[in-house]
Amino acid sequence: MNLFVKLLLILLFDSYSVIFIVPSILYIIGTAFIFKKSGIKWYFALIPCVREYQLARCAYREPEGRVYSILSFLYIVAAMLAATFDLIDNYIESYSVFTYLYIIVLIALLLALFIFNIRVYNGLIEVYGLSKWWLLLCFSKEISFIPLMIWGLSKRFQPKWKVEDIKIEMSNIVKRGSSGDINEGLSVSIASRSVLDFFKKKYLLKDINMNIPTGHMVLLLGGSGAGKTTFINAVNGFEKADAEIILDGKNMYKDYNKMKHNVGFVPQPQMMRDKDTVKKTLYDAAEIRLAIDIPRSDKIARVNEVMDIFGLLPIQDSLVEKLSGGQKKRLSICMELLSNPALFILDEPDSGLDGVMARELFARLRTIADDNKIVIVITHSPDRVVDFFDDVIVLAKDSNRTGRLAFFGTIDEARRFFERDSMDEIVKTVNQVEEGGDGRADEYIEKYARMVQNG
Amino acid sequence: MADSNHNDSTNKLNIRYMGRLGQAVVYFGKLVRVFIYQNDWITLPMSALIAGLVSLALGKDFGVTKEGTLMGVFALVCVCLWNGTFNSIQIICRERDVVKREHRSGLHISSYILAHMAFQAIICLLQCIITLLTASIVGMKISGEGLFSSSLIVDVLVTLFLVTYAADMLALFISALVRTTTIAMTIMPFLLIFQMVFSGGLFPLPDNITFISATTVSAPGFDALASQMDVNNMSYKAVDSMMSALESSEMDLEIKGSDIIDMLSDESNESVKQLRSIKVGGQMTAEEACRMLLNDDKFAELRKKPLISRITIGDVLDEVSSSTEPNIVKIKETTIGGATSLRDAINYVMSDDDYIDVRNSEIVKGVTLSGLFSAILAIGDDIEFVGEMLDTRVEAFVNIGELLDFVRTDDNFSVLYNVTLLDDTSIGEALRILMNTNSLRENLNTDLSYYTTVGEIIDYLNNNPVGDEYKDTTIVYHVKFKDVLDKLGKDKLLKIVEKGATTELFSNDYEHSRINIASDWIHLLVIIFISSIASIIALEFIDKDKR
Repeated sequence: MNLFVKLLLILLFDSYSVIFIVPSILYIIGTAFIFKKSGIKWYFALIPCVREYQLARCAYREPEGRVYSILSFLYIVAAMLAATFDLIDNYIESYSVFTYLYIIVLIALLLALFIFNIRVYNGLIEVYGLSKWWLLLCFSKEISFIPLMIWGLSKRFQPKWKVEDIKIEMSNIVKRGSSGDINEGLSVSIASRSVLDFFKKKYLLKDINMNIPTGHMVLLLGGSGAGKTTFINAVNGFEKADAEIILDGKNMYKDYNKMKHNVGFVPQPQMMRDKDTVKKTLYDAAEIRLAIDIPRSDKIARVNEVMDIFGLLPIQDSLVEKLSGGQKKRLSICMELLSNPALFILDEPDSGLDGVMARELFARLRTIADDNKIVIVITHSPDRVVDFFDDVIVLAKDSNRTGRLAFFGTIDEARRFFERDSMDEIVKTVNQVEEGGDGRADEYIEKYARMVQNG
Repeated sequence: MADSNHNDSTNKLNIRYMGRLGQAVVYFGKLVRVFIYQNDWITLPMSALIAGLVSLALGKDFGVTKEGTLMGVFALVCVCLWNGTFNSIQIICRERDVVKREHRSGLHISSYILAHMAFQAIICLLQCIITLLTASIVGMKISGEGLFSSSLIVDVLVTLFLVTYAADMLALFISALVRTTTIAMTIMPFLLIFQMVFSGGLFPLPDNITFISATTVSAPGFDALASQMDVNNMSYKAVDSMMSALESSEMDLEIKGSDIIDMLSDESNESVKQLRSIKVGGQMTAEEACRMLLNDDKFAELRKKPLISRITIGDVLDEVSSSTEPNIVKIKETTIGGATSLRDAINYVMSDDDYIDVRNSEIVKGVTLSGLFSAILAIGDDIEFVGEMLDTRVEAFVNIGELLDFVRTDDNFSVLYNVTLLDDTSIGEALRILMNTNSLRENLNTDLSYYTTVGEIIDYLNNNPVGDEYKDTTIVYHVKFKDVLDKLGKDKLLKIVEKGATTELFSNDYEHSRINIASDWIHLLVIIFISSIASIIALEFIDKDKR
């Protein structure tokens, strides 16, 4: 057989031997019917690798599907290599190490494929609500077309769960230019933040525009999965979006390596070395974050100043691991405060703190904001500290599971806009139904968009 | 206030921050503190403990016998691998989140790795010094002059350090690559076992996979250390004891006749050549000689040679008439008298007892007078006019000479002249007659002496069917192994045995030279360099971590 034909057959059917091509074709047909039932385009069944991924999606096993797809790809590559160099037939005669290595890799690959095959079929069995005995028919690809054909063709079998292909209305994406020629404060214009999620583009955030003046302390609200962390990472430049972030007239993305010193981000877990002292932790941070020409004595003074603000002076020689939860949070904030950043972002600084300590912490943050800084805070207990904030950002997940801006404005405006008294209730209103919310996100996203357009 | 803030942030774009080297220094200090607070210092006494235990187990034969030294070298390399790997396998991944945060706030990954490299270098050096000190105290013999320094222990220290440090850097790379300590600790055993298997110290590796060894830290480390200990010039304990057992043993050896013939046919061997040229004597009877002349192909030509040429009656008559030989003359002068015809005269000579001697004596080679006369009479019977001539009355002859002359000269007898008296015969026929005639054979019992060379005997055995039987026979002879050793030279045999054992157990190229050791060191340095670069590259992807 011509090598090219061989390779083509391997690409399409995993093999060039007739005994295996026939079940492969039946497998593809079965898969196509399964796809139809699950709401996936049937022709995906014709494309190698994509077929495996989509089948896993039908089985509600998307993460496995990615690995499954990659493994299938590797298997095809391996099979093509074998066909090109005649590896399998000659491996006993030719004592090439590479042949042996190839065999070892191939065995590992086949085992992995076998496991993922079982996982995907197991998922399909669950989705179709069938007995586990069906698995017996799925152990080999040569016979596994049988269940696929049966499930695909018989009307008796219907999936409990269908793949909803998220259709993105491209027309909705409005690319905005620079929102304002301001030289101070933070201007955020995020057109979109998307990730290439395997075979499809997935939008995490879309159309978020706002201007935050200096001296403001901003509350960032949103249900889980609404894109709060994505928003923050886009703003501070960790994960760049299709956006323009202007801080005090400077573009964050264009000069990121310099600008990053102007942003303080306090992550949610306390990312610090446990086995170091408070003072040394701060001093080392100061060495890195402060300019090189600042004298040592000034750096020490700055460390002491920051420790004083957050009440860490009495415990400056303790190991970080000995600190209480609140102290650790304050130390974490201190590290970012050292460089005196213009924008200060905190991810749930009050988690695990009681009301009194939380208020004490937010009072200190208010002090920072009052020093002509912008402080953005994510918190899950907003109502006990809401009086410290000037503005609120409400992010919500729309029906396409994309994070959108549901509101940006002062606290009081927010209360009127959502017709709710507390911040907790606002979150509940925009949260989706399955998360225990009212599922009114789309309504408020539209209402806010109209409000902005009307000025 | 707003203005000042604005200026502040604008200025920040022009601020110079601490450089990579400065950051490395800061982090070095941090690592020292963490090392102390984290109880990582426990690795130092641990290395002493491991080295002590290893030396206890293997110290006795280290530096004394070959296998003891190789075992010890392997154990030391393993200790170093263990130390180095454990030092750093968790060191980055356990604080990955922290590094990620610090990286986002300005930490250079290269500075971070450099700080680790510098700090680990010190730890590794300390561990190696402790290991060597403990090993020496407990009983490993590492003394003498090194190839690079005046003391072997310093050279060994360099090797151990490089092995430990290279293993450390490999583990650092793994630590930078993976995201959790769990994954790191899952990979670690694989890494260690891979290194041990492909070090070449555990068992011999096939030639075609030595390129895998080149990627390990253990292989060059093992090679360098074994070379430094001069393993090549040590003898195997097992071989020594085997030799003494061999010396007292005896054995029966078997050899086939054909092997002996082959051995003695080899003319290129000078001593065989001399042996083959030795002349040896033998005896055979005349009959055996005759048989040989008759049967041996070598004499085929000889056998064909004619023995006597064709002789006619005329030849004989001419010969007799001209001959002056005494016995012929005597025949010629023998008187005969009173005969009336030739036939009478001939019959008279043939029948009278007085003429026995005359008629039986040879006149020409192979022809007697009676033969001549018989021939003439026979022709007379056949041809009428010859018969008539024989019966014709003639004057009496005085003697036989006259009679013969008459026959010769008389034209009536000219028909006799060309009659053949004796046919051709060959030597072979003669021999056959000799052999087959009983009365003649009695004379052949005489013994004869002959000479031949050893070489000819051997060749004869080799080329003749007679030898075939000998070729298949097995000859058993008894040997004392001590004799073999003495014959071979004990040193030579020892080398042969050791060489066999070495190629089986270990590859035998631990060349005790500066170049060899230096190349191993460079190999390790390359691994260190590549690993550290790889660590930096791997950790640069820290921002891509999933949240």
